[in-house]
Amino acid sequence: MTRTGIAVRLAALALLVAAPVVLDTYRTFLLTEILIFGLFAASLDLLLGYSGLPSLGHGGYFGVGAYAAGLLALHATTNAFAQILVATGVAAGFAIVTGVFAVRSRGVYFLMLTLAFGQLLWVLALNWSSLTGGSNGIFGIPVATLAGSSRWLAAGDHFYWYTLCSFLVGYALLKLVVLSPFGRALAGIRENEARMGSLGYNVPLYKLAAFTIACSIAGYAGALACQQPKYFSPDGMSFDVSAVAIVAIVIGGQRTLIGAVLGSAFYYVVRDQLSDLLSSHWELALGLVFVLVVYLLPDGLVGGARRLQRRFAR
Amino acid sequence: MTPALELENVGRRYGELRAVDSVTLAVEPSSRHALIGPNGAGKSTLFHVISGAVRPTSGRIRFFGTTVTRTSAHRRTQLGMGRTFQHSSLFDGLTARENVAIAVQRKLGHAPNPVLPTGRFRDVDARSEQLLELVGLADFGDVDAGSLSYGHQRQLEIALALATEPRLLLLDEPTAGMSRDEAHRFMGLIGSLPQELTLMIVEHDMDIVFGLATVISVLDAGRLIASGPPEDSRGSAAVQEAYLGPGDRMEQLFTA
Repeated sequence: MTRTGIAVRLAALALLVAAPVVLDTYRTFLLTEILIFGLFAASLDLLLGYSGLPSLGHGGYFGVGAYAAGLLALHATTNAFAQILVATGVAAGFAIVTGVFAVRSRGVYFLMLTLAFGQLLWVLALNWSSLTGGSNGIFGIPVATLAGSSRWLAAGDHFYWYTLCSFLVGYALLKLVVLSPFGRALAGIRENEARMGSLGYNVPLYKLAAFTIACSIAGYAGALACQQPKYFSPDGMSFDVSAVAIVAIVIGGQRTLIGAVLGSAFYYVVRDQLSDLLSSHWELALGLVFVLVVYLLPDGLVGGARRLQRRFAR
Repeated sequence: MTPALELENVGRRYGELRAVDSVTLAVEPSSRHALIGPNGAGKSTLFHVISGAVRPTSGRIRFFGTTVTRTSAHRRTQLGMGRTFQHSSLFDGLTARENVAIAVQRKLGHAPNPVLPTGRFRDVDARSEQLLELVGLADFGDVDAGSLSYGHQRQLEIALALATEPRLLLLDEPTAGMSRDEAHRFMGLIGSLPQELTLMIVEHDMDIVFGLATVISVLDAGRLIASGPPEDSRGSAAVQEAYLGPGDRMEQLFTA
């Protein structure tokens, strides 16, 4: 890593840590949402960008994590870490069971299967009312506790810092995976799946592992998404959620992880601004903005930034 | 000695078509076994059946005494069966070095590691470099596989196959599409491979076949019509007919 690279990262980190001091409560809340959704989108980038596995059902596993954390909070423990751990584990369990079928396919078939599983999980959340509260979702979730006390996470700014720490841990895990030999194997699967078998790789097993890791991190982010508003409903895991994550990856630049986070920030900020400005027509305007961005920046925000950097370096 | 590879009545049907028809064959360890035959004889299908890419519809395959008829392709590679493809099958978007490293890290048992950065595995880097050098690509490690010249891509194919440290190496038309010069250099590389390595090669170029092979098997319409030392197939009437149809142009084929 270059000295500039380290400096940029440290500056970004410092800004993120200091953000609540400068921003008002609403914007801090928005930034919290961005971090949570950004981590979720980054976990999808592991599949879509790095492994060439376009999942359309990622939101389903996000929801599984959110419900697991919320139900645990309602019925068992308010311990924040326990909720995150269980959410991650339950999402991993669902990922293994569904992934066994999904990883046997590729390309458009993988797309259709993951779409089906995502919808299945959504319908499950909608119809299993006794557990999930149906379309109303689960609410009245007690504040998550750290070291047995709810005092710390009750304040908005504190929850932001807690989310920032959780985000960094989840992000670091994803980064380790993509830089590891396992990540290199995923690149091989993306580039030429058939060849991997003849090199001795058990390809379905590697795909299943990638799918499970990505869905676990989605569940991990889901737990955070339930802890903040202390509420979660099937809307939070619908097809839209999966689709927006893909949009965020494309806008930010795929196969970069950070692009997914920047794309999420872009989406949330633009949506926020446009919905103030245009009330109900904001989705149309949002669509136009996205078309423009994709047209002007084919490699996304990160690709654009790299090109700028190269121009200045000369 | 246990044969490296034994095929027992191996067949592969596609509907009514018998692409491979009851082939029985033994490949001796350390031999250089060439598989020849006219286009559409079933050579590639037989290779796919041997390597596990295609399941046989009948018969039995043994690899150094172990039955592998129903064994998956990746497991066969782990057992020591390496192969190259007729049309280069590489990781086009990755550098030549990364291509080899993917194969090497699996062989060295590091591939499942999801937490340590790849740079920490010096053994993978060293071995990858060694293989690039062996196939003559030491100066092309940083070039994307997709941007390499055709001949270099074929060399990289060999490096990938060798990285799996095979006991039996299947080469499917390795010099197809190469210039005379490239093919010549390429055969030097094949000739320099360790003697213990068993080679099975599908090849159309008869100079190469007779320059390399210790045994030649001839396939026609899915059936094995001859198998033995090169001298035998040179004189075999059945081989002549399979290649050229009835007639006396045999001389042209083998002296051209």
